[in-house]
Amino acid sequence: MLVGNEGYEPPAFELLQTTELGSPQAVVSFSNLDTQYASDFTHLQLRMHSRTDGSNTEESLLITFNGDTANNYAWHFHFSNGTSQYGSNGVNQPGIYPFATLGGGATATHQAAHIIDILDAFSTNKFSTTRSFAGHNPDPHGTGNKVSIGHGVWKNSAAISSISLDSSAANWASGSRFSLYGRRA
Amino acid sequence: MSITAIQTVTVASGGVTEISFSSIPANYDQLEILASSRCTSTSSELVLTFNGQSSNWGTRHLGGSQTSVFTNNAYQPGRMYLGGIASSSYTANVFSSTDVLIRNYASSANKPVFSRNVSLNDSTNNVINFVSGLWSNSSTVTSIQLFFQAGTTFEVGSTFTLYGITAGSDGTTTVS
Repeated sequence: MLVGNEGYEPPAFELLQTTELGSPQAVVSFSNLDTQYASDFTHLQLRMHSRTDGSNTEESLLITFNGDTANNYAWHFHFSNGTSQYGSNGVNQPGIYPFATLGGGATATHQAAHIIDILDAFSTNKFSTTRSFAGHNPDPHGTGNKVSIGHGVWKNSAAISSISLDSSAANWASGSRFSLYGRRA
Repeated sequence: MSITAIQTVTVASGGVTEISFSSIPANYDQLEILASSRCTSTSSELVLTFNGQSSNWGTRHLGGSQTSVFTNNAYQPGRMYLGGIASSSYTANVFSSTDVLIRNYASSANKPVFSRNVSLNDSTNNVINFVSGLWSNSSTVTSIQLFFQAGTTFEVGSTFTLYGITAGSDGTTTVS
């Protein structure tokens, strides 16, 4: 630090990587996370605007860590469609389901939004846990609008080295954007 | 808008019954707490208060467990209820994920607080909590205390980070 200058304090919330698809793609991954970011960041956050090229209005997706696609995950979420609420959970799953994205049955310009926090992502003493907030509007008339809060766990205490976002039965559509942020502590 | 990490507390060997942030600077617009925590007991109802006070809290709670949803407003007025977190009955290494957003903390206005807290145990006791609270007090928030309603202990490795969030100003947007 030069005399007379204020010390530089890096922001505690920082964009690490962004992928915006120019063509359909089945899986979007962020890799080498522990080697690149564990020394500077404690928490991670995914922010997604997405849809798939599947034929349904809603399509599934799965989050996996470190290439593990065995049944080592659990998830639970609640959602509301404006008149009713529903809850669901899954155990011994091949990934975390953070609530639906949109598919080809939704209005073409619409995308689903997800914000997913992963606290203490590089801890080797805790199972990796996600906390997600998601919503989507399949059409301009409000039919099928849903909002959801959910969570998931990967029953493994390894530091997260990679995150894969699998569009399950379809491809992520062009224009889908996936951003990974880091949080300092 | 920018976010600054003010202080992090990691629970060390032996555990603690209270997490406290003190001497909080007044130069932010909002505060946020991110917590990855667990209780060493089955009595894991987490609560929060400001400046060590035990009055003037109002709380509204919306929760979900498995496929059921519940709401409860009948909490003690002396603190803000944040919901139950991962307890000693949960699978080992499972920690809850919580965030708490605090508005007006440096002003004389009442302090709205919002929290989201999730705990996932696998096949049972999976809980989601949305809680809205209001601290009706004109004092500036200079300290924050988190503890369990039953006085139980935080698990070793639980982490709590307090962030300060500045108000954004792009020089062109007009707010009226």
